[in-house]
Amino acid sequence: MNNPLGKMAINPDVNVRSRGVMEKCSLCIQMTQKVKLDAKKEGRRVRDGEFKTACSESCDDNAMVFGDINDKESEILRVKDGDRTYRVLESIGTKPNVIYQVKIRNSKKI
Amino acid sequence: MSSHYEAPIRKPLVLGDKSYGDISNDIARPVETPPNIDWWIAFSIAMAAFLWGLGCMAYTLGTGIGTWGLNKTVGWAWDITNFVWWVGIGHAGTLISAVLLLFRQKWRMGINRSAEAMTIFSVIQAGLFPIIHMGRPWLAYWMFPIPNQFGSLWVNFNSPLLWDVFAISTYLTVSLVFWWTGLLPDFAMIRDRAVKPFQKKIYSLISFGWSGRAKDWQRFEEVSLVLAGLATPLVLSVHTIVSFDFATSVIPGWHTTIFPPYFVAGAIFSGFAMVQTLLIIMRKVSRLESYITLQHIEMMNIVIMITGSIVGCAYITELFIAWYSGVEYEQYAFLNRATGPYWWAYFLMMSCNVVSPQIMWIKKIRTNIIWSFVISIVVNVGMWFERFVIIVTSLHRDYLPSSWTMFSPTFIDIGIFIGTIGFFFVLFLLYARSFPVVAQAEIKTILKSSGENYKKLRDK
Repeated sequence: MNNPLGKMAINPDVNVRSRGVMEKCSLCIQMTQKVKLDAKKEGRRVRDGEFKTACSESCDDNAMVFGDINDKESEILRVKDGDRTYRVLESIGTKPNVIYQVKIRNSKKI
Repeated sequence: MSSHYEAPIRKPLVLGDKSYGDISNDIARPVETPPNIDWWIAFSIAMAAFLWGLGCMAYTLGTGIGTWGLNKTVGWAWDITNFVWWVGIGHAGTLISAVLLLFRQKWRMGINRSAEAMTIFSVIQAGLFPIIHMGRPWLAYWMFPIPNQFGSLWVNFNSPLLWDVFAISTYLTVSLVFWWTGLLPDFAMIRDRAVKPFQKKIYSLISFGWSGRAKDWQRFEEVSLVLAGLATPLVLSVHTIVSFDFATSVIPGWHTTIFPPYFVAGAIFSGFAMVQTLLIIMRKVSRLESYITLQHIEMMNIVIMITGSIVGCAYITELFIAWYSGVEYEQYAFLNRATGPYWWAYFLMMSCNVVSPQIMWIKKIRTNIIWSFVISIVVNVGMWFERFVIIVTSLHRDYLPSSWTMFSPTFIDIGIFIGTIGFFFVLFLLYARSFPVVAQAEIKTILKSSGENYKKLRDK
């Protein structure tokens, strides 16, 4: 467990890095997995809004949304199919899991 | 007058009025006599290069891939260039042994043994790179689909990188089996002549009890046919899979359906060039000019010319399609290759691969030993640059200009490549003095029908 792989696996219980050290975002997979397992133990589906990540929780403006796109009622599905959404290099067709929304501007032109 | 008309194009395949005994003596001589000073000089240089490369690999293993010149977005450079270069070189041996056997081309017999040895040794070099280019090579066994305790975490069967693992290991295995089977009667020949007890013991062991009975020969022929049938599709499929490493991606310059035939033709092209380089030297040094004749050299040059033309055609097709498609990313990818910061590599690739094989149309050149040697070196250099151009120019400038970057190799990158060349020659030099380098048993089967004394006899 005391190797780089093992240390990554215990996220978020990691030691605090010194200033200026960046790590790759793992999309809080450990929190996501916990939510899934809790729901499985309780014999229910994951509720909308239950998936949280460190960044989505701490953001005051709700700039980041996480969720289950298979859930017909979820906010993420509304965002994904909305008019404002796009993906980086969308024409290549890789369909990444991280999607962006166009900035709202006060004009009809995009 | 001979009893029937023989077409003038049929030149003798074995020159010099050889008898069966002569063939045994000629082929066994390098094995039975100690090497001369030239061999030792070549071996020392190769060994030095190999040890230097080994040191570089050890440094990489201990310190990490940061010792190489790789960075985002150029995640592959010399490592995969070298890998594809070595795998490509290996394809000639299999083609000569398997495909030419099925096409009943007897001229293959003088060259197939050494060509296959070249294949085995170059696939060994190729196989080093997927291992050392991993961040954690000690976990290399994770590439294999073995049930495990991570909830049985399986490898990604969708990935061409995994298909490579299967393709290359299959290729190495089949080539080894084919090579060794063909070697059995030849090892037995040496065993039967061996006087020194240690030599006799070793060659008895590795000849697997070959007795020379008709039954042994019958099985030999049968197995050769079966293995040739197995190995022939490999010539096409292995380099197709390697091309899929690039073709299945989305990068402009990589994502193109021309890659499978283009890579296979390129592999045969560079493979035959390497065979030429090795055989032109070996036939002189080991005095095998009667077995590896000018006709063999010319035939191989013709193959180089044909496959070189296919490769040249593919280059032009790529350029045309880039323009015709109207896809600006594709168009820029090729504009960048020709005029961007790596234009010199592109120029080298074009001149070495497209221009040089075309001069082989001239008979005087393709039957000239010096020219053949020079062109073979030129082709090998050109094919290395082709892989370099494909990999690095497509990676260093792709879709988003904000990610554009430059690549330059570190001395470790270069050292490892030189190390693999050294390792290859160490293996080949050792092979040349301990293995019969010409398939003498097979040559003996064609002596009476394609040898020089037979032609003379018939023309009396």
